[in-house]
Amino acid sequence: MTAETSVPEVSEALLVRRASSGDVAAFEALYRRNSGKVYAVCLRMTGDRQKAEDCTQEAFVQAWRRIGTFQGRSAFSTWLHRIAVNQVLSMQRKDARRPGFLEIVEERTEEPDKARRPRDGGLQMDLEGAIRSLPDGARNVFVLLAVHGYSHEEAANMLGVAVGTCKAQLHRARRLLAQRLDQ
Amino acid sequence: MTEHGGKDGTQDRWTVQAGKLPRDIQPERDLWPEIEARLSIAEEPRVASGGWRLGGAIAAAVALVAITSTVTVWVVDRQEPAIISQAPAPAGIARPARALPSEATFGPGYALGPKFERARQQLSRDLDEQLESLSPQTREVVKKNLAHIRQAMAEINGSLADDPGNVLLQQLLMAAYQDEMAMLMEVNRMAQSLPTRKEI
Repeated sequence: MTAETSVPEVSEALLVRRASSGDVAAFEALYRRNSGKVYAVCLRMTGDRQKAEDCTQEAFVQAWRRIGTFQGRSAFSTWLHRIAVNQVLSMQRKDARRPGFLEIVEERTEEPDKARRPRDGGLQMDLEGAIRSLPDGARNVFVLLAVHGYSHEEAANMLGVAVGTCKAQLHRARRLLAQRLDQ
Repeated sequence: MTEHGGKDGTQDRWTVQAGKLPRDIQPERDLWPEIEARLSIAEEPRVASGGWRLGGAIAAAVALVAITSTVTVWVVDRQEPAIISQAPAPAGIARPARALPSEATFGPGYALGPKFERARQQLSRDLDEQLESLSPQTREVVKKNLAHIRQAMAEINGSLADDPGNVLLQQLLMAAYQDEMAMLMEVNRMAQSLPTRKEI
């Protein structure tokens, strides 16, 4: 970890340049600076710790492969978020296919999420739980817009949907959250 | 930073609260060692690696589509009554290839779909006859592989009995059922294609 002790003073732009020339220590420094931000978006979008770890790992591996294409037009963390969101979407598509595959399993309970709905407890925990219980599309949009502060245009671009869809999903998310939390 | 209000321009309470949630959450374990290990692989020539991966992904996708379509057609053609079995199996018991394990509850919230179960039962009933049409060597390989898959199913199912909500185990069990179905279908396909081969 000798690289870590020297990295705080180094600018992100320099680290990116060094990493793009194959410097693993510089890339590790970028990981240390950004892993929390990437993991947070993955965790909220997947609602699952293991999947969030997988997506985070995959996002950084992909970032390493593509770092030569990073042109600095946006913040490095935004660029990483974009890659991470792609990983999450890819995982969600796989998950969506799996349960339907040959109808291998069927839900036996009518409302499996009911038991997981937040009840009493801290406001933040209630909100995190309610966000987790949202449908994928609404959750993805809400996390990117309301939690991470992206604009409709940015979120729509990351998610590969129209801005109108993004707005509709945000409206849906807000309505569902109000239903679940204001009771 | 962008604010996302309602139609009247105001933000609802929960959107405001969501904006206050932490944007930086550290993973519970250090993910770097595994990432670093993968970087050395990623350093290999990228075009070749990417091409291979893409080829593999396409092959897998084609295989999945082929399996899904075939079974769907096969299932739709059959009009037998549904047989849904849910008796739990003891953990860790190895089963011979021909014994059809009829457990799998995937935890309290899920059960095998009737169409899948019906196809599985039928394919398993035909298995003995179809195995006879294969060469002894192939037959042994098929039996051995089926036994492995079914042993895995029994073990995972046993663990699920202790921890019914374990999503990883549920996914593993589902994957094992898919593997078993793919194997049964391949035997079925091979057995049915044999006369054609002889003609050639």
